[in-house]
Order: sequence, then structure tokens, then C-alpha cells
Amino acid sequence: MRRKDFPPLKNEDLVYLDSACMSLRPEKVINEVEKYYREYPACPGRSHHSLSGKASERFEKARTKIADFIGAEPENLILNSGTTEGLNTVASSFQTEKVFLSDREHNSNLVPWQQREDVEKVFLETEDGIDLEKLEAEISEGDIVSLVHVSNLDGKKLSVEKIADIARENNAYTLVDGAQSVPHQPVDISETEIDFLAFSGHKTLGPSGTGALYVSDRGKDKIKPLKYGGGAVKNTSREKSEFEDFPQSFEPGLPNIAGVIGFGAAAQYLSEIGMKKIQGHEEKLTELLEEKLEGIEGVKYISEGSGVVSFWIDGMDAHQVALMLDRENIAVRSGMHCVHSWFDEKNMGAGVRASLHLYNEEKDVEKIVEEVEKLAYIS
Amino acid sequence: MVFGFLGIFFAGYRALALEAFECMIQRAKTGECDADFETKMRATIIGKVMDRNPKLAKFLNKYLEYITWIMILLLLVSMVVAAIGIYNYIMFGNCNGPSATGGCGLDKISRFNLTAQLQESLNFWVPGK
Repeated sequence: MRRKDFPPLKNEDLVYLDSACMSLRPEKVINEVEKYYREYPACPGRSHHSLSGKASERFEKARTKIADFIGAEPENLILNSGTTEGLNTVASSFQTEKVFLSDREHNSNLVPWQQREDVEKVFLETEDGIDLEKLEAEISEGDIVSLVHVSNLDGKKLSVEKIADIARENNAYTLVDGAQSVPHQPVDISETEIDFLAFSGHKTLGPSGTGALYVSDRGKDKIKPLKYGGGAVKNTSREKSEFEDFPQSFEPGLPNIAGVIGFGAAAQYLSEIGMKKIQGHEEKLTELLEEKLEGIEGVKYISEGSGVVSFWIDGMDAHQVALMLDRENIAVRSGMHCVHSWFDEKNMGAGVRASLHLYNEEKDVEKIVEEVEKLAYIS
Repeated sequence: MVFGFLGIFFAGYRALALEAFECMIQRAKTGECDADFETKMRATIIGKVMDRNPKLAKFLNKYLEYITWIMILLLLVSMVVAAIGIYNYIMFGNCNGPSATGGCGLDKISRFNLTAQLQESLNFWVPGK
């Protein structure tokens, strides 16, 4: 689907299956970034000249496009450097006694909470769907549930909408790591009770170093900025500062203007294609990959949703598999994919992850399967 | 050592030689080499063989570490034997020892007077000679 829009894929031999780490960008996004540097490379919201005016306009337009993409209002969207920053913003300042996490959290949603020694961590098992009974039994007012929406290990989707309902009923809050869901399926925040949703531009066909944190109206007063400085204040005296309104109060310093504009273009590009269509395409390819891997002796895989399949070849180190696939121009990721805690609990070794996006085709699946077959034979 | 030698002629091998050297130091210190380097080498060697002979690649994938150790051992043994031979040749004029009468591969080199020059240089640096 739209393979020709992506410059690296003009090399017909390249099979890019590492989109869970970093997606590729279409020409449109690259052009928007370039256009900023070529035509109006100025500070938004600070100077009173036409270049600055244009930069401000495009920057805020990008915010609106990104907000629209997840069904939010731009007034509820902090633009930042990515999911990790969004999760840290909440985890570092949210006042609570208890956080509920799943057993498959990315380090970016685990490590920030580990730093909060004042907060009790409760882990919810996800083996047979998330343990809602435990959540319902233990959640109380002021707690927060901080969960991954779609796992970057195997594509498993957690029912965050239902969890957010439970949290809201108990006057608790919900933080969702949307790094792997927002780029691959429709997410409409307006239909949920989620309070915070963090996601990245670099997995959503946007530039690296971009991201956003959606904050519900009731969540705005519950968090504090990670950083302070110029651009986030209206006025200062030696003693105190008068802050800008939300979300600018959370965006000190000069933002990644070109990146945000590119991110906005990526959100528009995806919206024009339609996230349902993209999700369907990825589901079809995932099923094909699962079906083909199933038939290879000596290969084990896990896949519980669309877009991500992790596999192991008996007798061969995962990094060796990745390097040997790379010899055939197949890009995959090997390791523990920043979910070390899950591997540690299961006592499992590093795996190889193939992750898809809209630009992948059946021939990509066929090529990786053909190479995995060869590797399984020699292992 | 192999990469170091190749590095003299091909720049591409210099980085590998450095990595290999670091790997050797690391192995000497901690008993384990940098996994990245070892895996990279393994993938390169087995990958190249796999294109031509999958059965041999399968064998290598299983026994590459043993084969590598055997080759290192052979390299060390041959280095020791060569060092003894050179020492004998310089000291006694015969690489097989003082009273040996068998043929010596270094005789061919002496035709170009290299060993004589080497001997002279050594004598120059040894005090009292």
C-alpha cells in the first residue's frame, strides 16, 4: 500500500520490518520538513515578522492535525519529543499512592514509575487478557492505571477503554502508552475516558524527536511540566512566574518546529488513507506471516494482534538471525525490545521482531519467511 | 592477527582488527568477548557459506566456536615452532638445532642474505659484541 511514497522503498530489494521501532516517512512529510527550513525557518510565537507568523501558523495547524488524528481538541495536546517524554511527564508529577501496570510494560512506562518510591506498584497479568478482577478489587480514588495499549512484543491489545471506565467509576485516572496503537489503528480519545495518552511521531510516519501527550480536562491540574523556561511563561519577576495556558505551559524552550510540522503532515497523510484501512492491511499481512512461520520446523513465534510478530529460531542467537537477515536486505529488530522485565519474568532469551506498517506487502512476508526457512535449516 | 595483517593492505579490515583486538583483551580480562563482534563475525562467515553450501553452513553454525579454538591453537603452536626454528637458525645456522643435519626451510631466505643481516643487526644491539 503506497510503497512508492516512501523513498527508502524505492530500493525494491529492501524489506523493512522494523516499524515498531521506527516507521519510514512518505515524501509528503519529508517535503514539509524541508519546506520549513527552506521557506520560513523562524521562531514561532515569539517574533513579529512574517516568517515567524508563518511558522506559528504552521506549528499550530500541525497541533490541530495531530489532535484531530486522535479525536482530541488541540487545547488538550502537549507537543513533545515522544512517548517517553509524555509518560515521564505524568509519572514524575502525578500525585498518587498506587499505580497499576501490566506485566508487559515498555521500559518507558516502567522505569519512570520505578523512580517513584512513594508509589505502590501493582502488576496486572495479561496472559489471558488483562486481569480486570484484580483491578476492580484493588483500585481506589486517586490511583492511576498506566498501561500499554498495544504491546510492542506481540501486538497484544489491552482493553484500555474498559479499564478507563473502571478507573473513572472509581475516581481514578488512566495513562495509556499509545506508541504502538496510534500509528496502526483508529484511536478516538473522545469516545473513551482515558486521561492521558502518549504517542510518538517517529512511529507514526513522522520525524524522529516528535510526539504528543493528550491530557483530559480533569487531568490538566494533576501534572506538572518536566521542564521550565522561556515560551511557557507569560511574565516573570525575580520571585515568581506567570505561566502560559495549557498546553503551552508544558512546552518551554524552542520546540522542534520542523519536526512538529512534519508530524502534522504524517497525521494528515494517515487520516487521508484511513486508519481502518491500514489496520485491515496489517492484519492481513500479520495473519499471512503467522501462517507461514507456523509451518517452519524449529521456529517459535508469538503474535497476539496485528502488526507485530516476535520469533525465535532454535539453536540460533537472535542477533545472529537479525544480522543474517540484514545480509538479504531484511531489516528486523533483535533483542528484548525494551521490555526486559517481561523476558526476565518468563526466563526467555532475546527474540527477533518483525513489525509491519502500511507500506509492507505480501512479497515482504514471503521474503522473510523464505530466509527464516533457510536459517532454521542451518540452525 | 588475521585482520591486522589484512588491515595493512585493506582499510576495511582495520576497524575489524581493532574490534578483534578489543575482543581479545576483553576475553583475557573477563573471559567473554563483546557479543556484538562475535555475532557479527559468526553471521558474516556462516552467511557467506550458506549462499554456497547450506550443509556446510549448518555444520559451521554448530561447531564454529570449536573450529575457531582449534585454529587459534594451531596458530599458536605453529608460531612457537617457527620461533624456535628462527632462534636455532640465528644461533646455530640450522633451524633444527645445533647438531641437526636435516634440511631447513630458512636456507632459501639466507640466499638473499636476510638472515645474515638480521644476525648482524642483533650483534650490533647486544652489548659487548
